[in-house]
Amino acid sequence: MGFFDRMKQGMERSRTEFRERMNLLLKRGPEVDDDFWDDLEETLILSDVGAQATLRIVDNLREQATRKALPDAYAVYDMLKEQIQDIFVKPEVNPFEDTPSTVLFVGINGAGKTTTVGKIANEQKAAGKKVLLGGADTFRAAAIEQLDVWAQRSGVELVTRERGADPASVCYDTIERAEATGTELTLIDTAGRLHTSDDLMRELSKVVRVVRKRCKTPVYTVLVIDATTGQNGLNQAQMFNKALDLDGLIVTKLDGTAKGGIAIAISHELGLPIYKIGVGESIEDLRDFDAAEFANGLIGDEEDA
Amino acid sequence: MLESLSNKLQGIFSGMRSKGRLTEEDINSAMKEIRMALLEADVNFMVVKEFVAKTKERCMRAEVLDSLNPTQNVVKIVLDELTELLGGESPNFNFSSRIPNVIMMVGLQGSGKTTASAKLAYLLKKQNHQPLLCACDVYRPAAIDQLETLGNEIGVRVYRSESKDPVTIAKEGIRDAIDSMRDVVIIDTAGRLHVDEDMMAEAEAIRDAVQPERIYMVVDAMTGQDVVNVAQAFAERVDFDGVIMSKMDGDARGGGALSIRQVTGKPIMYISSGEKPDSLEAFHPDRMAKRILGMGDMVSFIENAVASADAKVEEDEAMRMATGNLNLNDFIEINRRIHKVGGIQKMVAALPGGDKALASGKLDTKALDRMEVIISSMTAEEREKPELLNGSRRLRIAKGAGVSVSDVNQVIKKFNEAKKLIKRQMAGMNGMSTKNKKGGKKGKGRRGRLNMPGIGGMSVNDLKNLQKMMDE
Repeated sequence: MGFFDRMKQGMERSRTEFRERMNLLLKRGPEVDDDFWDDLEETLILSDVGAQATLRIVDNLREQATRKALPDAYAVYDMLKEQIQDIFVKPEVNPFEDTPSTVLFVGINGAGKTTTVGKIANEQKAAGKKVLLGGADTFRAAAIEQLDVWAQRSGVELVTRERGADPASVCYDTIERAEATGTELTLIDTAGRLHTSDDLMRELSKVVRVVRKRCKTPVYTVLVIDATTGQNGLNQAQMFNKALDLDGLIVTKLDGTAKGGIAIAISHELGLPIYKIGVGESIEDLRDFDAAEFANGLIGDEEDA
Repeated sequence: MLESLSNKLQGIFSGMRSKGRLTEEDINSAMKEIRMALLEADVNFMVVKEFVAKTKERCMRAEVLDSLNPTQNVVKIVLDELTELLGGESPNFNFSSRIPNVIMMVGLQGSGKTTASAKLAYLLKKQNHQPLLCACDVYRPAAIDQLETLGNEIGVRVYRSESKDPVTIAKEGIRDAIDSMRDVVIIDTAGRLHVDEDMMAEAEAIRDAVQPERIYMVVDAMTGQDVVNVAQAFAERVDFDGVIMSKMDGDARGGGALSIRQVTGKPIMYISSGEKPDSLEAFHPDRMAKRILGMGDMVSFIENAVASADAKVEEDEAMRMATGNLNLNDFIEINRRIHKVGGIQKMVAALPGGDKALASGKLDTKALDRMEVIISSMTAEEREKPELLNGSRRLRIAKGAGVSVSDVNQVIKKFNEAKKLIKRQMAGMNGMSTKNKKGGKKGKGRRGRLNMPGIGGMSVNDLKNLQKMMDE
């Protein structure tokens, strides 16, 4: 199976169920009545967009639909899609392609940081870049081994220390090694931590500070967030942003039935771009974020109906 | 931070009391807030719909509408209904006579299966079982190493195999358990997506091969609306027996738990919080209901604080306290302990109405840290004997900590007050007559100026305000 087929398949799966739901809407015809708005509200809430954000969106749409005298439901969908797309900030730089750069991956436990680092290493190595990995998750059992497997799969070098070592010093080593070897892209994996753990957040902000101070290349701090996350995702993003001053997001696990609607709330609140999305466990299950596609995934596509 | 539901309801119902009776319209706007609160807590949309309809019916009864305090009544009904939906006390796991018993863990990627497996093994070990962990996640790199490391840390045997077939490994694991005289096998399987046909078939194959007594599904407390689709699919395919909610140490309200229970009828068995092996606890529906509604969970917080206290340090401290001999090191220790359980912020948030107090910015959450900085600039001798602190020492400390002398004086003053307070309380414990006399004085004369030890920046008045909010 080719690269694109695989990506398409991942997104397909995530969209099917939602599309079915939208199709139910479409099947009720183009009529825009009270039920239509209720159903739309339900659809958005079920996508984890959030109850308050949904009410805001639907009220606003409703008002505009009347004002602009939109002819039917399809016109409403189109307008909604446009609005969702507009919420997402376009990244000014691509930290993985506009090298040299150093990228730190942060997030809660199980979000998919290590897997994402592995996939990006592979992608950029294949694009001809010199890539170096830093294994600063010295806390979780076997995290280093896990990253080592990814390093071998994509044929890039890994700098790390033994479990329990100071993560900031691992970062320091990694940067030294990157400079010595003429690395273009340095990817640093950090230990997962809950945003509510003060001690661990302090530790992480020290790590980020050390890297920003020591690095001669631009440094990007990227929050990895699981698409299945509910409304707590916003708390997560806010706390990580407050502690670390984030540059952008990566949304993982979009190959399930979760729509990742919380990404809308996060982008809206914090104005952070989404650099990549993860759509599976294989090394090539990674793609660039496309706001139009994301909106389609969320709302459904008339062509697919 | 979300304003808690009871505060919102308070807002709706205030001003209506004069009318003496609530109307259907009042109840409707209350239900709207309840719906919002539940949705923001990630309770599934369909479940919310049903729940609100049912709750409304109960609230519309005359005894609620006419009551003097409808807010409290409505909140109580919502809490009752939620608790009921979440199920009674967790059912006990009765072991069958088969040796070994088999427990199988399933769930999505990153939900925390491997960690939960190790915690469950640790719990069983403490209950005098001899568990064996069987590593069947052959997909995620180093997942087997992770389980092995965790097993070593808690002293539980881990079975790993060269085989790449999880069904084979599971069967071998059971044989290994028999050979090594283990009575329970915990099978840690790979994370899988509920829509991944091959992987779901694999989970069924493992189940059919080992016939587990129990299948637990591990669910991340932060999961959103989709949790219903996931749980339904797992219930249909592998028919799990109960749920372990993971990552409960975060601030997710965990509305997904309620949804799973409602949609699949499967009970929640344990909640898992933190990375330590002993952080797997039985599930309490009433606490969960309060958490979903943002009503604070003081019981869990206190349990947490107790669990994180160091027994030895505590003993020393208690000794010094008993003799009224508190020193500045104890002050730092109290601060550290508050940090350990999530800081003053979390502590206050755990109090009902605490969210509101924090949001209003009335609370100086950094006061404790500033105090620690000042104490850290003292010598060891000074910390143990604060009476040494004369003017020149105070000046040196102020310079060292980068604060003014009056800041240092403030800390010492607070410390002396705390010391006095504790001495008085200790004296009170020793003799009833003293307690009454001194207690009365404390209550009247100095209210509002006394700072409790360890709750820097928070006056007795603040506490009183919190108390008031609790009562409302």
